[in-house]
Amino acid sequence: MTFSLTAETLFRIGPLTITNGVFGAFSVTAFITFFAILLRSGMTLVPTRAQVAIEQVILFCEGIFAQAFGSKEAARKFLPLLMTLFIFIVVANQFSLVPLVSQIVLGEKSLIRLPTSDLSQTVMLSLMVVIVSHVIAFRMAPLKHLGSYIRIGAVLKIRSPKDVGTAILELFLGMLDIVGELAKVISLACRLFGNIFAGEVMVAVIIGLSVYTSYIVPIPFMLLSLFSGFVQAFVFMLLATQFIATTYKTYAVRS
Amino acid sequence: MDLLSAKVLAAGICMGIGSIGPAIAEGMVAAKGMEAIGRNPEVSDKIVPNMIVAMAICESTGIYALVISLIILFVV
Repeated sequence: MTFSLTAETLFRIGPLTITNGVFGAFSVTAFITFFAILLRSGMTLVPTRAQVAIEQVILFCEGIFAQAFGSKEAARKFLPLLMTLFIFIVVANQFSLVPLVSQIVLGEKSLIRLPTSDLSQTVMLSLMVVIVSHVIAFRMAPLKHLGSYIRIGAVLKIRSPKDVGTAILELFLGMLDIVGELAKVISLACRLFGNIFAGEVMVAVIIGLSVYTSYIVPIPFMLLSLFSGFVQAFVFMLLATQFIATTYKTYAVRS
Repeated sequence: MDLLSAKVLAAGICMGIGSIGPAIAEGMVAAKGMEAIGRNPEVSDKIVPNMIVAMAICESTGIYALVISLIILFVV
């Protein structure tokens, strides 16, 4: 019974290394694309069952976004990004439940690793969310946004010796905000990675405990990791919404 | 004490101490959420998603402890 914290390299194409986590992400994307095309070709005015289910999910999420962004137009604008994150993470978290997927091996390594149990990919997802929130703020009000991190405004406002202390405090608080942005990336990435990887390890440990525990005993733990997979995908989407909406709302009112 | 036993002990202590805080916090969040639902059952649709998000945020320190103990076990 061996676990590796990092994804293993499968093969190289020139300078690119393809790890099994990346291969898992490719397969998840192909899976989602296949179902999207299938659903789209069968789309009718009188909806089928699958269409109703997807429409309900999107409407529910749109309600949440409208609440966070304050208006329906803004929610519509960010719906593609946030829904893509949600659908990708939900499918990626449950991908090991597809029969035989984890049994495919190449050499001694398994061909497909869950993309969300690969720390570099969760870091990538959360980095993307935080960068998007900053790019949006920067495009709306470049100087204001920079000024909220490098707070020179307080230094320029010094009129008397009493203000020096406040100015230094403001500068320090600005630096603390920069650290806070980095912490956002780490916390968002580690939360998703920790939950999914821990679920995998827990099931594997229960299976490897003895011969008697390898058949029916892991099922409750699998159910628990299934539930936490859904909850974590939902939480990731909600936190991404909050990060983008707070910066969007601060500057949208002024411009 | 050799390295392996030190690693196992460190991971166990890390997880044990690290999960005290999140457990208390999640219990408090759940208790307050239940209280709110009991007082006003009509808005439970709005309370439950917010409660789950708050719980996930409380959980994050526990997850940090978990990640650190995994790193101690498998990487260091």
